[in-house]
Amino acid sequence: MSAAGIYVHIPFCRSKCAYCDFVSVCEGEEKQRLYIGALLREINTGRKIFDGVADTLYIGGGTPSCLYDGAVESIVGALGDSFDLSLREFTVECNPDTFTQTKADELKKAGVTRISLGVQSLDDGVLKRAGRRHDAATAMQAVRLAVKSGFDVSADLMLGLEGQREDDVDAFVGFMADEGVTHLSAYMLKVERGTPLARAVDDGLILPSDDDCADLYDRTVSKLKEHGFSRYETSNFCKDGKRCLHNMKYWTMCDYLAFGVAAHGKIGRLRYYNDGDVDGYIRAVAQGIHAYRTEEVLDDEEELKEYVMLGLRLEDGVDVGEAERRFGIPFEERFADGLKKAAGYVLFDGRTLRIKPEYALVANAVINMFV
Amino acid sequence: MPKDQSKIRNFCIVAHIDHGKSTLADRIMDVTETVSKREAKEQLLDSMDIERERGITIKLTPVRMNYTYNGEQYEFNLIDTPGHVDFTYEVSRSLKACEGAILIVDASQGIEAQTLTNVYLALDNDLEIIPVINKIDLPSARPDEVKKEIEDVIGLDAQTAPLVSAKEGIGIEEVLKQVIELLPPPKGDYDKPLKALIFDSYYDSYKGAVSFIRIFDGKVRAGDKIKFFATGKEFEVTEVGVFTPRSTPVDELSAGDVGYLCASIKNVSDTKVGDTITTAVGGAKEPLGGFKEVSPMVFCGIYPTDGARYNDLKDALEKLKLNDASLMYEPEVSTALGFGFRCGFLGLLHMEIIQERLEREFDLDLITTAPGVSYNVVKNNGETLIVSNPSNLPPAGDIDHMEEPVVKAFLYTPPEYVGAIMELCQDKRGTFIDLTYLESTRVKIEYEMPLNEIIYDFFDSLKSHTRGYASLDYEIIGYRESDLVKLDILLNGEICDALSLIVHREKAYARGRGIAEKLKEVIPRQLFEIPIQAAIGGKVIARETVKAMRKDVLAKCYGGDITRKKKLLEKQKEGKKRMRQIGSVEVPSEAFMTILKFNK
Repeated sequence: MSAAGIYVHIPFCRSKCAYCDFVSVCEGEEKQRLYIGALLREINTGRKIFDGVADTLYIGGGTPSCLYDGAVESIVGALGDSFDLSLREFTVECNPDTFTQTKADELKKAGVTRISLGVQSLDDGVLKRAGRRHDAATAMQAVRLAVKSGFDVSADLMLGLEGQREDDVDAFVGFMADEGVTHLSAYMLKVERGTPLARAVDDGLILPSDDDCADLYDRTVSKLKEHGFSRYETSNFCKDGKRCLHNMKYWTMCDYLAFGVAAHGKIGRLRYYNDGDVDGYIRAVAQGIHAYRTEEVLDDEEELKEYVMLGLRLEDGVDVGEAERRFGIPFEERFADGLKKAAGYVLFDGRTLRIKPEYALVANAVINMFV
Repeated sequence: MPKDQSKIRNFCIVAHIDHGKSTLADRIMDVTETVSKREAKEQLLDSMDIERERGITIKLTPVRMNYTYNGEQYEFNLIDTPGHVDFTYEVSRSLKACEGAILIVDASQGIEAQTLTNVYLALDNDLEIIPVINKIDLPSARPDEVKKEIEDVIGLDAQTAPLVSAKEGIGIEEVLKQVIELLPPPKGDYDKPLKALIFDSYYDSYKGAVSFIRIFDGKVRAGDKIKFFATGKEFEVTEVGVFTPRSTPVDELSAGDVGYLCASIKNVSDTKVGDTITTAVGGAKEPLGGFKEVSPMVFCGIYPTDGARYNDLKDALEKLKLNDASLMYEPEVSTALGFGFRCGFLGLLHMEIIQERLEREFDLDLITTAPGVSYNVVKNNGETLIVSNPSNLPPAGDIDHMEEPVVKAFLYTPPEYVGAIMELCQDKRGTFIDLTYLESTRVKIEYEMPLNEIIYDFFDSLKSHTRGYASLDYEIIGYRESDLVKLDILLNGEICDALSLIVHREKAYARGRGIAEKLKEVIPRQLFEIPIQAAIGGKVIARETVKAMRKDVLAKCYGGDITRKKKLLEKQKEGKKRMRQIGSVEVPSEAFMTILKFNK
């Protein structure tokens, strides 16, 4: 059994971006302390559901870097008390405007090895229109600080933002590569219902079209390649083998524990989810109620479906041998229909099943042929 | 025993949609204490959801009422009428069952197009007409002007027209008073042989086909042997009755009566609307005039979206057919759509109603091919085929010539739209016949036109060209030779038989281009580029391309939220179920409808 990952969700941001539909609120230290208190309490009960080794820790958000000083250390402490931690990777998501020297020092001291910076763009106009708090100069400074502090650094690039052009992509990739960033995530903007962005679109805001986004993505891929990055997942690129070990656990269906509101965990066949809002979460934990309220036990079929769905996003593809062992199926026979339908879009040699690189951006259509 | 016919009034209500026909009928029933309001909703008013939503009546539902006036007891039979050109013949039969009609005109809207066809039909059937001004409670009511309109446009004396608010119950007694004083009673002869007009029928699973009848002469009772003129078939009457509005058996129906008759008739097609019933022995020599055999004029293919539901569709059509003698269907097979049925309808509305009923009442998801007419195809060897499905057309080289059904169309319009209408008719390959001023504000235009143009989008175009003021009626006058071609649509190089059409050669280019453009809009982008071509024979006349899809990928998975990703994928997959695989191309069901709705 391979080691598990741990995900901790921090639902606080200094302000909410126009496109965000995720659980995050803008609250001060008082509420943050209440939340962290509940979080630590939930972590303490986590032992009951898991007693193996965890080797990756990912604190995401929201904006974990906007937490009060000492919060991260207390989280790590609680996790260490409850679990057998043998961390190979410890990532904290940070936003450029809250990633200061003090924060860098604090995170270093807490044992953080990797910083994921929500840069999104290096075009001031694009950043401003997207409702990001930082400008390009702040972002650049944060990137330099993170690299200089000795972290592995990943930068997020968002594609399809209002007014975004290919030169933004060029500048972004060029800067990151030059500064020693070794990991890059490039996600496409999705207009989620109920967000200010969705309302703006309803009111006539024009965003880059699907074809424009595809162009931006293709540009990103080729620029990254020029700079020695390779794609290991549809939206994730790295060099020097610096894949995100934690995220790999999602995509290969390893176990991961989850703590905090809106966090999703998976242990064996159980998928669970802490739903509700921040206050609801704090109340539930305070009352000693098990915080997660939504859970799903996957059956063979569902698990296999997810395994293939996730595996097809990886450059390594689906490991056929592993799938056969794990699910006790003759892979080729089980997916004969899908293999036939997808013949022109996948590479299959009996050992791995991969989407051809040129179809990475239409992965859904290909995945749907199999699941 | 003969009834006192002077105390009977048989009448109907004619009105434009929304002018208050159903509400007035309700009020009349209230005043005559026929049924409770709640029952009225269920009984007199149109019983089908579709009818209520579309504000039209399809099935006619008569009701008998009693009313005391000046100490005398009167019997009213109110017969409801449908209001659409598809059902003109049914309306005319219902009108024939009456001696008079109440014409409702909205006090603020005035006379509108749809009112007129039925008014003229009523006049054609020699009905006495009582104009009624409704909705006088509205602030925008202008009863005096509307009265003048009625006089100018229709030529009826409207000075004594009752001012009514059916909603508020104002003026209803005055309407009933006029019904008694102004509408003539029936003048049948009790002692003559039976003559009963069938103005509607429906199927009852216990009683068999039930005919709605108006007795003109003679009488009929349970046990009588009767004969239908149109079919020559004979039956023994099992029950006669009246509508209160519930079916209530009576001993005898006689001259002047409106009621129903059952005779263990297994099939509604034996009880043809407009046919005359008489006694098997010593019956009338001649039927009542005006019977027409109705035959389907519009055809389309109907397929279940989910091929596994073919048998459900078959059962549903059988059930609808029980109640609808004018619906025709036969099995057919399409390469693109699989097993389904070629169905024949009276007109486009009839087609839409049947489709909606299949979908709603039988919970079926359907794919419908573009409506067409039936053509006579004369082959080189002299053989003549009747073709209503474009796929059954012989190869062009085998065809000597083709003939298409032609109608005489009557269009009624205010004079200011004459130009627009004539332009439209010319565009639809019409041949001008005549133009008459009926009044200074109303013109009647006659055209001969191919039916295939009328069923296409003529009705909608006419409405939009005339702001809804023109009305249309037409009758089939025969078949004419015409230069027709089969227009094929190719998706990714393969002919999709379900999209083929028979069109006039001159129209083929425009139609082909229009359909290709429309399909480009509705066919979603797929992993490869899809050429859409319109072709006549082997010759491509229009081409569009659906570009290959470039982006179809899930967004970031926040905090390991795989479930959300999976749900999104499942949703996408669900959407795919509504797609039909035509060769390598996935085509949404709506695509087959779009060529139907296509406007140039």
